[in-house]
Amino acid sequence: MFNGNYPKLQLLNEIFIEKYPFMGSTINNGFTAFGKTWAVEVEELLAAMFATNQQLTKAVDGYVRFAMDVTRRQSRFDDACEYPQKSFNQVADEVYLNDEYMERYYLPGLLLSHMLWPHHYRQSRFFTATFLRDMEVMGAKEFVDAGVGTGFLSRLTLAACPDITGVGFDVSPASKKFAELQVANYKLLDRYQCKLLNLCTQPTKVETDWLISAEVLEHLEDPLSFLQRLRVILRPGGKGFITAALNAAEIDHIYLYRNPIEVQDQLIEAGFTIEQYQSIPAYKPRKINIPTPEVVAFIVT
Amino acid sequence: MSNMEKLVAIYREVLKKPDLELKPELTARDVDNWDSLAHVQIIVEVEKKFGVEFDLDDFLAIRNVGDFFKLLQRYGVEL
Repeated sequence: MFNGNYPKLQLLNEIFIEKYPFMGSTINNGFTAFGKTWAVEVEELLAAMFATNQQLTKAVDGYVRFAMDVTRRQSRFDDACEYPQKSFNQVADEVYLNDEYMERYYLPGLLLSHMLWPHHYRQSRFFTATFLRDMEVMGAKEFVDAGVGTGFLSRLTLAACPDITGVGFDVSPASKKFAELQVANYKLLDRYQCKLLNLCTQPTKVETDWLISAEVLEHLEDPLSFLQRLRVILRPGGKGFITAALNAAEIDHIYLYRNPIEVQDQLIEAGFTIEQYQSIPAYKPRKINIPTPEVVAFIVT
Repeated sequence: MSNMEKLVAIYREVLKKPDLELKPELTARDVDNWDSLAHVQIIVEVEKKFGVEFDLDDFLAIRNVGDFFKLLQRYGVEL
């Protein structure tokens, strides 16, 4: 599988097998499903973000804790089919403003999930094959990323479009720092700014022709109001890539979307026109009447 | 049914291995269905069956079935 070509990926595989044997098939599964392209992308990401063995081991510890927390919450969700009641401010205190939690678990966990969770990886491929390709073809000059998280999509955009500049927003200082680090490690920071801002409550005059907002809606108490603000940020004739997680019981998911139509209806109510969408389940449904977590991405104008 | 018999039943059910023998040295490497989803399902089923709730760090430290036996005893479950 490795043939000496992917030293970081090989180390990642060894850490899983030795330290977390229940994760031992993760890398083999990725290789089998997505092949060399995937392996090259993971190798590059690991080399850019976790240069030393110690950094990689720490990131894997964070990822496993993040992933197992998600899986346990999902297992409890299977019984209740509801997210636990939480306010945005509660989640912000517990997660987004909790630098230690963000840096040790959440951000490395989320970043590695973009490559190691098949539905997350498939969604990033959808982004690259559709929205990002349009940006390249149209010669996009600027973009806005509303809710940068780890900075993963901002980084992909900056890398694919050599003349583009971008602005990212997030409420979390740790996210801002991590996104800037990722962009800097790919030597793209001279074309990117990340700002601390809550787009739900703080005014901004920013406008764009290319808007990204991934994995944000389910974190909000009132995603429709947020979408209405995004509609103002996206200039007429512009294009947006907006995603949501459905039936996915994570520590910071507040708003429960049960199917893609609920997201679609809010997008339309906010004034967007749907151009294309893709919905991807996290895994094959295990039982009838137990919802499967999935991610849905919309390309909107 | 003893606690050990209940535990064996959970492992067999989740891992879909009706003849599984629960030896202390058994790990996820030895059972092909034992992935992260199955691992959490085992934990959650044990929590329900024995009325305990494990700290996440405790169950991440489990390397083999023997570790899980010890963890259960720490949480007051006699085996």
